[in-house]
Order: sequence, then structure tokens, then C-alpha cells
Amino acid sequence: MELLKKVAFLDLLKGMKVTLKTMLKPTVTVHYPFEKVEPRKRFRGIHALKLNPDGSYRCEACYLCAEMCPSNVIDMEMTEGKDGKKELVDFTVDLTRCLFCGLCVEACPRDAIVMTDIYEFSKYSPDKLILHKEDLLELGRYYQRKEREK
Amino acid sequence: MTENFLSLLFIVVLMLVAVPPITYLERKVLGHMQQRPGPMVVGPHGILQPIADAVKLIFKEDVVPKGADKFLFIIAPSFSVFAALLAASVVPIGFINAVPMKSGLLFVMAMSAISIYALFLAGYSSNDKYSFLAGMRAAAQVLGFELPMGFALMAVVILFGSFDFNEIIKWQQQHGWGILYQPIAFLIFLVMMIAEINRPPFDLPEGESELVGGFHTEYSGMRFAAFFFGEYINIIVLSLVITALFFGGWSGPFAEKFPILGVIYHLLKASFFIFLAFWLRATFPRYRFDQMLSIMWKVFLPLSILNLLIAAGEALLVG
Repeated sequence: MELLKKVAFLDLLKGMKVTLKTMLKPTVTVHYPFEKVEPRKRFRGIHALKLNPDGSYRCEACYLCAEMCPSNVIDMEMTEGKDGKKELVDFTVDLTRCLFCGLCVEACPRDAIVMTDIYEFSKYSPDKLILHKEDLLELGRYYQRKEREK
Repeated sequence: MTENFLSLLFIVVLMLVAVPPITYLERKVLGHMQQRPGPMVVGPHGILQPIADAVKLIFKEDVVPKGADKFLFIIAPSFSVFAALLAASVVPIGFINAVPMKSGLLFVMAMSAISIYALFLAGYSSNDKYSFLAGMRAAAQVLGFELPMGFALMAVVILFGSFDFNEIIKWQQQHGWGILYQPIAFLIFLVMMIAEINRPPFDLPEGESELVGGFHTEYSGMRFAAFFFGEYINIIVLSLVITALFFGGWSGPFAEKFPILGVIYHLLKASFFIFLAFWLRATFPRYRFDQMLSIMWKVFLPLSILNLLIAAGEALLVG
């Protein structure tokens, strides 16, 4: 019986049946540049800085995020403001080094730094991957608009 | 004479024109068998992909590696194409018979065996260890499949009593398809055909996962494309041969009255075997080297020799 099975190529024919059936099934491909998958709710994309409703910075330049960062991505500059409070001058995020772990977001006591759902940020030169305060605030407006939509 | 010349022109043009669509169809079939769409971007459903490939290959740099045997390196790809085209020229498709030859079957077998030499030449002349290994594998594979294939064909020829394709198909029109008489020879020939054209599961000389690209590792541009032309023309030719031997070639309803139908029947029957080559590629993993040699030598060779006895008995009975 075993020999008969072998002679008739039964197991080979079984495999061929599987592939033929699969051929008639619809494909499961997402045609990426033309079709995109919506990122998941908690997806960690590139960073953004949120603003307060009155337009002031949420970030108080406490350096906690920079301290937490395992790959030294975040750097910031600050001065003493008019009322003696710390004021943010520049906030840089070096995306060439970032591993998108989200520790900076967790460390932030003021919920100032957040992660957007943007994952397409390739650039033609590496220095464009270093985001400054203006870029981050722009991204923050995008993030807050999305948040409000929800 | 002019008729022969026109037929030859038709066959050569058919072979060369059919290769790009076949590569496209292969990628589509393979893709759908893996639940992906295959080429999709260039043109509607990627139908212009072969043209894009051709343009890319034409504009690629032509590299001859350092230390390669230049003459053999250059001659190997053309060897592959010309051997395949020579084999194609004697196979009749319906009434289109470019070179009516008394020993057409023998000539096809000789030519498709010679086209394997392109792989040795490419492998040995490239000065590359992977190509060299692929050349050695191709050499061992030839020893493996030529004998069972020869014996399977011998059985068929004993039954039909001729090497001439026209005679063979006339015999089948009188007595019924060859597969009814010689199922074992058909199976052996099918497996050996897959081995001869280096298709999976017998694609040892070009195993991408083991030998980088196999014998064509060092080839680029049009030389690389020439190997593919040779390989795909060989697929078409052997599919035409297997339909002529076992499935009645161009015979079919109304083929006697309208000869053009015969051409269509023959091509349709052959296209099933071309599809089968894609199908097998999508289904089976590659045989290991020693496994391949052991089934060739220990299973198919004794089987094909035993089959000779069956064929002789049938020839006595049917005559």
C-alpha cells in the first residue's frame, strides 16, 4: 500500500492541490505606495512637542527625556525667562539614532513630548533627519489635531 | 523550400517572442500560488514588466570577471540560445514543420542535451567558486537524467516504430494517445524533462539559496538574459515534444479539416506543460544533490529499463 502511494505520487499531488487552491484565492498583498495600512492606536512614530491651549510651551526643559533616552537622541537649550522661569530655546531630536522606544514620552512629567503615527520620514540628506523645535511644534499641531478628531 | 523557410522564420520568431510573456506569466502564477499578485506596477497588472526587464538588462554593464576564460565565458550564453533554437527548428507545430527530419526526436534530444553544455562552460569559465560548483552539479545532473530519459524515449520509439514526429503523431491518430500505452515512460520523461530544463525541484545548478546564482553568478546584462532565453525556449520545445509523444500532438476534433486548429491544439496542450513547470516550482522544495542522483540512478533508471520490456510487448501486440 505504501509502495502504491509512492508510485502514484500521491503526496506530491496533494501538495500540488494545495498550491492550485491557493492560486484561486484572493491575494493578501497591500500595494504599499498606493495603499497604506492605518497605524495602530499606540504606534510609536516620530516625535512631536505639544503646546498648551494658550499657545505656550508645555515643555519646561527639565531634561528628564534627554536623561532617559538610551541612545542620546534628545538635546535641548534653555535660558532664564523674564519671570525667572526656565524657557526653551531649542529642542533637537536626532532621528538617525532614535530607536523609537518611547521612554522619553513616558518620562515626561508634563506630557509635552509625544509620538505621532508618522512612519514615512526618509530624507535625501541625513542632516534633515535632525528635527528642531519648529519642526517638532509643527508635528505637535498635527498630533493635537488628530487627538481632537478622536 | 520557401515554405520551409517561412516555417523556420515563424518558429524562431515564435520562440523569441513567446519568452517574455512566459516569464511574466511565470511570475504571475508563482505570485498567486503564494497569495501575492506578482508584478503589478508597470502597466495594467504589470503586463509591461518584461519590457521593463529587457530595457534594464540591455542598459546594464557587461562585466567579464578577472581571470575568467574570456572566449568560453562569452560563447556560453549564445551556446544556450542556439542549441535551444536548433532543437525548436525540427519540432513540427501542426502543419508548420520547418525542417522535416527522419530522426527529429533524436535531434531534439541531442540538442537539448548539448544546451546543458552551456551551463558547464559558464560554470567552469567564470573563475568563481559558486559557478564552478554549479558547473559540477550540472555535469552530475546530466549523467543522472540522460540515461533514464534515453531509455524512456527508447520505449516510446519501439512502440511508435519511428523517430519522425509526423510518423509518431500519425501512429497516435490511428491507435490513440501514447500515454495510454506508455504511462511509465510519460512519468519518467516528465521528471527528466524538468531536470533537463533545470526547473525546480531539480534546479541544482542554479540553486539561489546555496550557490548565489549558480552558473550565471558572474553574468550580467544581455548575456544573463541569453541564458534565460535558452532556458525558456527549452521549456517550450520540450513541452511541444512531450505533447507530440504522449498526447497526440496536433490531433483533435476537426484538426484534419482545418490544419490551423491543429496548431492551436498543439500549442494549447504544450502550454499545460509550461504551466506545470511553474506549478512544480511553486510547490516543491529543491532536491538535495545526493537525493536527486539516487532517485535518478536507483529508481528511474531500472524502471525505464523494465519499461522497455513492456514497450516491446506492446509493440508486438499493437504493431
